[in-house]
Amino acid sequence: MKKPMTLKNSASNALLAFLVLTFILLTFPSQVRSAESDDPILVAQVGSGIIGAVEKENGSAPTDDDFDDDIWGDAKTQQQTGASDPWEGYNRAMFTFNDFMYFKITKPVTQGYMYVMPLRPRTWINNFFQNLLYPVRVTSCLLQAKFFTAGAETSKFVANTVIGMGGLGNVAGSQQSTMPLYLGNEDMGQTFGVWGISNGPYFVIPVLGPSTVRDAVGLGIDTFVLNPFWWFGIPWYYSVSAGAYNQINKLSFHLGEYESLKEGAIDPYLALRNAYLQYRTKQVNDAKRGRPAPTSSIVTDPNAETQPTN
Amino acid sequence: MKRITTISIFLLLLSLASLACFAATANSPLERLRSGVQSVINVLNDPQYKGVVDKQDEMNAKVREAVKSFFNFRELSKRTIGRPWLKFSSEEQDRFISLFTQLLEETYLGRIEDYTNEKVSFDKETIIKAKYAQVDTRLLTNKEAIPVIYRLKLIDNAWNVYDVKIEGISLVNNYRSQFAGILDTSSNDKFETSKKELFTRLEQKCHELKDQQEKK
Repeated sequence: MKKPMTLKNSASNALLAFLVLTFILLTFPSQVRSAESDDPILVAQVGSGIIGAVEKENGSAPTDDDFDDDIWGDAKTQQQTGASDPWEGYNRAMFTFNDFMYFKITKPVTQGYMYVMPLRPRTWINNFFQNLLYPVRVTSCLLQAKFFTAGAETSKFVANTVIGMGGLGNVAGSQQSTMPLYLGNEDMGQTFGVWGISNGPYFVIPVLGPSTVRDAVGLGIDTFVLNPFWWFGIPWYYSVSAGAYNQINKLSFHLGEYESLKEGAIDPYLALRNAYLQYRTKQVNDAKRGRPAPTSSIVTDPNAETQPTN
Repeated sequence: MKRITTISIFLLLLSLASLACFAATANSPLERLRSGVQSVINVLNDPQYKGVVDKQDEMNAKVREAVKSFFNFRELSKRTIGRPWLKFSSEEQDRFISLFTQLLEETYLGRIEDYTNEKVSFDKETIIKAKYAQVDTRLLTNKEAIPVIYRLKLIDNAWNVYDVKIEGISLVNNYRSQFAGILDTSSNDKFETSKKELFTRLEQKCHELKDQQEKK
């Protein structure tokens, strides 16, 4: 009699907490990005940094300017990637720490794991976690009114759970499948971005890496409210180890990416900060609906000689 | 005699046809980019170099040459510095271009061996203000399609790449944020010292990368 109660309680608590948070965020004076307003927009103040202060562009550029980056309508993107970094001292220290952790612990562990675990089971495990985290993604899709993607996520979830052995297989959404699905990998940080909340100060999370105040809050909601690991009264140490395992498994597919970013950088801290902010901006601004376009007929042929271009 | 005339007419037609081709490539950023990328891939797939350890240097030189034919490193360098570029003397500009080009080459040539017959799909071409173009491409790997966007500018009647965006991350923007962290434009003195620092750090990085390459 006791067990179902706790189960129900924790689930309803999570739901309540989520609804309250959503309500708070929705009633926030979140200023929708608008081109007309020139005034700095104040959304909220956290510590010393001001979240959402959009700096005014100083001076208007001449019309035919070689350095004008707005030819592609990038002004909005530029603003979002312009970093506010009031905690740079802390961030740089944490970057060094994370760098050390990555090369001394995470990477060797992952390499050992890759040595033991072949590619196939790793893919299954990746699919399994991806499938399990469906609530995280679908909630954000719905909150961003991305109904097409939410539908795609749902059908993928159902198909993979039912036919794909509880998510181990990926019967939908792979390139070979007959019905490619557009999946944006949505999360709460992106949802806040779509709602018009700016990044806020850049913030390096210990071990996890680059983030901003907005994305850190989103990550918190994703992890503790929407992630099924934290439902059903599962003890926290199980949840944490499962999460860590997922991260290691995921990293095994992305080993070397951080190294190559760092290799070409003059200032790795700034390079990573900029890359993170640009990547998130792209994720926030991605299309509301859409399918991946079919492969264009114009393709390079890896095996052919130079082809005449007619 | 008749044979010779036929052959010469044939040759004439052929050259006309290739001329028409050439004109078409000059006009379209997409075609220009495609032939450029194809030329790099051709070098990478050349059985003469593929997997031959001794000829790696020769291959690298050929790739470098192929990339230079459709990238504009002057424009690229200019944009990574941004407005302070105008305060660089022309010698400093040239020095920066050669160092930065070297940095990019050393970084990316090291990754050539990662190429395993991936295809590139050229999806869309957009031209703005008659001299800027954007070509959307996707790198098709076994698992996924990685969006890569090229930005080109028409200079001296040729479309050349000045920025590459991979997964939304612009190369120029990324380096600009790093250089802006070093260059201090608040006063002339500070600008001069920070410019010196920029050059030393660039040289240092190129040196590091070269050592790494040689170790391999």
